[in-house]
Amino acid sequence: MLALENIDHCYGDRRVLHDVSLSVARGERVALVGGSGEGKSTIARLALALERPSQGEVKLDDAPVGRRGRALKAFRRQVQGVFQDGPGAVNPGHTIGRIIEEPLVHLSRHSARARRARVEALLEVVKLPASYAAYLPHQLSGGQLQRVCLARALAIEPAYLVCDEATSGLDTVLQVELTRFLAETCDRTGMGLLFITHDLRLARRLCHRLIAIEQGRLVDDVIAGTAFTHPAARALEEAVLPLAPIKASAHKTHRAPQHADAVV
Amino acid sequence: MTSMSSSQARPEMALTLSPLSIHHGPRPLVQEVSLSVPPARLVTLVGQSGSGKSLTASALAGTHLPGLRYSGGEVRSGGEVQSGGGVRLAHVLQNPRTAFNALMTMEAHALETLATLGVRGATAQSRVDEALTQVGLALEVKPLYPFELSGGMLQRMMIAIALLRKASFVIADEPTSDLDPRAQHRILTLLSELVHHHRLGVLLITHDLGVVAAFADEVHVMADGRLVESTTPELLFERPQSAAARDLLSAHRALYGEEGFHAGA
Repeated sequence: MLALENIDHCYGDRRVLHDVSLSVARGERVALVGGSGEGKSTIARLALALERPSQGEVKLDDAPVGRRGRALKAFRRQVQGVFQDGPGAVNPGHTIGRIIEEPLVHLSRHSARARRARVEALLEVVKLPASYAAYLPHQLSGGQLQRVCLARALAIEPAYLVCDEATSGLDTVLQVELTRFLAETCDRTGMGLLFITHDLRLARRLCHRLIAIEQGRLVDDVIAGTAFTHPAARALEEAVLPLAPIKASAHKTHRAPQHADAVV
Repeated sequence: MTSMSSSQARPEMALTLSPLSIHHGPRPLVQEVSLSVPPARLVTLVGQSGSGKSLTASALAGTHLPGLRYSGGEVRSGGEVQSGGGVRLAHVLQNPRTAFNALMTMEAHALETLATLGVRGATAQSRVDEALTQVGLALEVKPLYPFELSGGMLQRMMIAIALLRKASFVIADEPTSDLDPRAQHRILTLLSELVHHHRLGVLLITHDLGVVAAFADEVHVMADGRLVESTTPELLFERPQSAAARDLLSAHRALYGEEGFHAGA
């Protein structure tokens, strides 16, 4: 179980998270949904122990996360992350093969030969040609680099994966492929997934449980397939684009969501 | 070039792109693509990553990338050939933050735009206020710098600047892909209102068929650098003709859980 317990978090005087508790069990896929600036990415960084919470605790299997050295390394072996900005998350001077291999070098005891074989298998898993191992990041598209980051996160077979808008920049076909692949990986390996997104369609498609966040507070927590009850979460639901064109509408002035925030 | 207000009548001339091809070395990236964007229509261009839709759109906006060979692709409106950066056409990009000068306020950006058209002083001030109001931004944003605004607000500002430039056409490349759904909805609704109430012609590039379903008047599908289908949203969803359109639709439906793939709750 990866758990955030009673977390408050501040940047300077500004409190961005208020008493946040959430947990992801092995094999479970949990979505955290909300608009921009509500605190989603802060939760991702805390869950990955990239930051320490001002108050409260992040726990892995009931043990608080180690602060440094061997204990923190043990945590990293179990919990990995993928972020939105693929190009910004790789070393532009390293080959794709080296980028994917990196966690294996630091967090596993694989031989160089075993690592190379693993890189090749991972490229196949994320549907990139094996020849890309020799390429540099600038030779790949943003979507391809995003898949490289996913391959890197999965390299050491983590027990938990945190994805922060990891598929947001991709086209629909790739989003659908990658979410399918993530679901299969969770089912096959028992990996737990915290999937952070502003796209409720992806969240519903992929996850068992949906948690909504607004202004640093978790405001709703529902089983996939059931409707949200909190107004902020329902506003997200209402902004979901239609599956198909709405019949008999002379003009395409699609009805606006039923809430009235003044600014975007 | 006329200088009528965006709300007044304009010559009813479509923006057209004559057959455009783009090559990288011997490799064709875009092949013989022609497009037409009529006034008062929201035209969408869809396709997977790498289908050539953004290259086509930026060529239409007058941007040619270095290292690529362009042939054909004459952009015309009302019989005039448009050169790059023509004042009738505005380009709205996916990431608005990179399009603004970090050291300039919103007001400075707007006034600079007007100054290039020779509009200064009190007239300029009132035009800026008018444009901000039109896109639903409070006048309080004027002294703010880009970092103080959200992505959605910056995207509104981009559209306000397009209006200040008297653009008759807006080419918007994934303008809402980085926005959350509520912000996305407001920007698309704004564009749609400008199309239907102010006769703006919009070419909107998107990978999201939900955007097409909700807002488009016309849809063009690109695959492997070619235009493979041009139709209405209704017909696209009911009777897609091309393999590319069927692939996009099947991924789109999967996104809504209509493919039998469900989280095994």
